[in-house]
Amino acid sequence: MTQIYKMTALLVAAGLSLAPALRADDSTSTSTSTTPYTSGAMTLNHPGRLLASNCFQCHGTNGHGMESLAGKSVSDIAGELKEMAQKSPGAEMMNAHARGYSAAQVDLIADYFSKQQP
Amino acid sequence: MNMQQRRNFLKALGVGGAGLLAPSLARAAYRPEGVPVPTGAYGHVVVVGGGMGGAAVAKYLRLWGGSGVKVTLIEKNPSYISNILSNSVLYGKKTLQQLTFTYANLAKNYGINVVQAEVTNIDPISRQVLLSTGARVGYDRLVLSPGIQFDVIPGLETAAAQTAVPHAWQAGVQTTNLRDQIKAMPAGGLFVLTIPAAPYRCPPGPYERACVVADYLKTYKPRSKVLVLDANAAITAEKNNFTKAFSSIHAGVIDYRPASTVLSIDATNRVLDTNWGLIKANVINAIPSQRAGKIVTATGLNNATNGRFAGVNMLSYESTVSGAGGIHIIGDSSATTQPKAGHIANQEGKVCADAIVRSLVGQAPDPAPMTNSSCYTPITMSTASWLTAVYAYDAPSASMKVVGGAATESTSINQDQYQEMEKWFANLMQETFS
Repeated sequence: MTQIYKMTALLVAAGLSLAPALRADDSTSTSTSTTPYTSGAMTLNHPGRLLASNCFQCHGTNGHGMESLAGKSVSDIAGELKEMAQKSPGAEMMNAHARGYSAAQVDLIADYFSKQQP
Repeated sequence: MNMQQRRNFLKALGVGGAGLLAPSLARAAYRPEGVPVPTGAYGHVVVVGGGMGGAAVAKYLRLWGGSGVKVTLIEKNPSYISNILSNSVLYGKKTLQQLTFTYANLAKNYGINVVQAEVTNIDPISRQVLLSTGARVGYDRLVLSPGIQFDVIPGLETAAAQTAVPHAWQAGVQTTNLRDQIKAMPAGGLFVLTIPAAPYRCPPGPYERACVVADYLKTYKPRSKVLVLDANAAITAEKNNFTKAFSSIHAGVIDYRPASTVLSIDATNRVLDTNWGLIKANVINAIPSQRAGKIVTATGLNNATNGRFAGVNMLSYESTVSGAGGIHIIGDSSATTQPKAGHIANQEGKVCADAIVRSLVGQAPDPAPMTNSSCYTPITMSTASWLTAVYAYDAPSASMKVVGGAATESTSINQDQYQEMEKWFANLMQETFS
């Protein structure tokens, strides 16, 4: 998967249109790669990007804000969200948010932030 | 982009270093890397309106669009005054200056072309917008985020009447006007707040205003009352907390009356003609019903909510009016199942930006977008509650639906949440305007 993102980013940077074969990276499967994404362009087609952007309003663009998420491990982020989803939703705003996402979506969001430079 | 390239890019933009960013947070300001100089190879997107939705869509079109997407943001005002937290101006906790955000960082950090002008006309055939300056700007995609315009309450037709009876529902001179009127109220006076039928901007906002004005009056204008005339059959948002606030925290001060009708208002004598009879007030804060921003209605894109708001495709926010291809409407002007509010307008901007970037390279929009709405609500001058909901696209109804249960409101009202509110606001504004 990582390789595909990179290739896509390069093509886009070069101003080339995307070949249909490369649109496979729109799939919502979870990437397990640990390669850090060092620039915005490199995350161009990360399948969790739009989903993870729901966190930006409070946690900052790409996770650089309040209780920064950028570069935290997948297990830290996903583990915490899954724990929050079990707690009383009205007690903490994050508990309510955590309930809105499936386990697969949580993993995708966590993967996105883990690949951002802290 | 490596560090050297990035420095060169920044140099090309005339940016000396990261230290130029206004540090609105204690931590060092974050500047996303890899925002290349726009060439417009894929297309030119024009964004009209620099509020919470417009600023966010412009930023993310550049951040996610790479070099190929050129963005022009057209806004009539030199800066944005936040409606969020503007109630705190009424009780003296914030100034308008603290709620004001410029477009300098969007221009500097993302290479957005910011133009201060009003859009007077849109030609969807030649894909051009006409500006108040006489200039014409061509677009491949157009995003309209102009907010709302107000209907006129009978009796409040003149500018003088609208000054005497402010709505203060668009932060700015109306806000300070209302603050000054409250300050000048006598002890034992009557403050009347009128709430329009939903949908209107910021569902919990009017109830929040009733609460904080009541708290201010208790402290500074003893024995005063707040009469709330709500056109809705019941509290429209955060019902548990506001019921608690009206019946216990502000009991004896707030008189809440649902299903109210305001026939007209005599601005000179400050008398309301209502279904409850004639009511003489010291200060009237009348919030009129609302519709999509002027440019949306002038272009005929107001095809939903009885012609008041703009119907959009929830995957792309593109207008559902035939012949309006390439025109997207986000934020308060659009007719969706989501609330009309700043926090979620930011997310609508990202969904729209993502869909436009994909379409410019021949891809379909994300088939399952999600958004979220969050807000903190001051209940007194030092305590707050909150309300939040997560929305997901529901294919059968082609609409956004709340997931993970219903919208959630905080089970308590406290000072810690007031502090969280300040942090939320600082982060939200930084994320939207820099």
